Amino acid sequence: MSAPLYEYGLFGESTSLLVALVIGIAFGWFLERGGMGSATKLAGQFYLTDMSVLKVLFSAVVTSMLGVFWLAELGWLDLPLVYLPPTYLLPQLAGGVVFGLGFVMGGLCPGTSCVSAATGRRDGLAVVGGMLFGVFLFNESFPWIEPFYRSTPMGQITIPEILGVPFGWVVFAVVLAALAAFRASEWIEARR
Amino acid sequence: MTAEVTSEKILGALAAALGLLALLAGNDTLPARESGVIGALAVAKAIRADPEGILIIDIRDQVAWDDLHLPRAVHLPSHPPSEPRTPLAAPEWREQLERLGATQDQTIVIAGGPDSPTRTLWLELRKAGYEASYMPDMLADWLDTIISPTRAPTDDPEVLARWSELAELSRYFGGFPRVIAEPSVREGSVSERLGHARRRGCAI
Repeated sequence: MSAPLYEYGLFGESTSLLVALVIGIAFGWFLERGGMGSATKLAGQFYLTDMSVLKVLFSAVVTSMLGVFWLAELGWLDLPLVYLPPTYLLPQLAGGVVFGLGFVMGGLCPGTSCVSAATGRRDGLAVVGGMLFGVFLFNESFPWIEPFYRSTPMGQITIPEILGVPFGWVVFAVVLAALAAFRASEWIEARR
Repeated sequence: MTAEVTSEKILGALAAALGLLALLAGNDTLPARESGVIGALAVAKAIRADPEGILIIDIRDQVAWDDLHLPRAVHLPSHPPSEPRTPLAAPEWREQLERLGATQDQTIVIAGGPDSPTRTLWLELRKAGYEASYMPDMLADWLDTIISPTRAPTDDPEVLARWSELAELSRYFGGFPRVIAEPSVREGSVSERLGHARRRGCAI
């Protein structure tokens, strides 16, 4: 049996929605248990007083990256069938800046705001409301911003393709970077 | 003094070991990303260049097929009449393609509508050992790209050269290429006007 299971037709649309719901609930539960529903804790990342965000998210990146690499190496995952979002350099850079500003101002990102709201925090509810309003504004203004939205297209690119190096080299480099970041985080937290 | 062994350190060591093994094992770059999607322009060029070298399988229902289909296409509905809920699987594809006389060196294109299981069937066709592509929304793509292509006025020689080639190809298939004076005032694509609007999804 090979993955992606949906692409290979092992389950259909309705089952895929059910799987997404179960994974989404599990994701939210783990975010909450990791303390990611607290705006104070998340904002602490920007002031280097609490490095939990970096550690949680870098752990997630390394876990999924190693999982994808080794599943593909073992022949259990058909990697070319995994959807890769295309890169639009300038609009995505602008989106990153807007995302970062919203994150530091609200203390929550889209996923963590839902976790925060689900646990009854009013700041979480406010961020979810703002996010939905932003989605509405984006859709209403799309005809005006569409040229920028579709500018600087680079296609479905990956870091190994850009650097022209084997996939495994990049995996190793990211693992090293994560371990170094974890060590630096411990050092920063110990100093405070 | 002995260092304390914590779960974080064990997980870190495991990640380092798997990363190091990846460095040794990952001696290939990523496999080519096969989206499997082929556009109307590529299909039109292939039909014109070598009509015998391409096999277009139209998997839409009888009404859609009777309404309009691509030149040289054959009609093979995605679901066999005996089992209307089960799309064709790899062995059935092999049987059908052998019956149609398809060869391994032919370009095979699955042409479907917006709700056709083109990607699932493409995967089955791959499993059956055929190199194939698919057009997820054949009719809209064909109408907009080949039958009624448009462009804005321009002096850019590169754009004009590409347009000249496309317009010539369009006329070959009975199309009517047009230059639109005011591209900001869009009258809608031909597929939209005919009620075959192309569905937009996150993958586009």
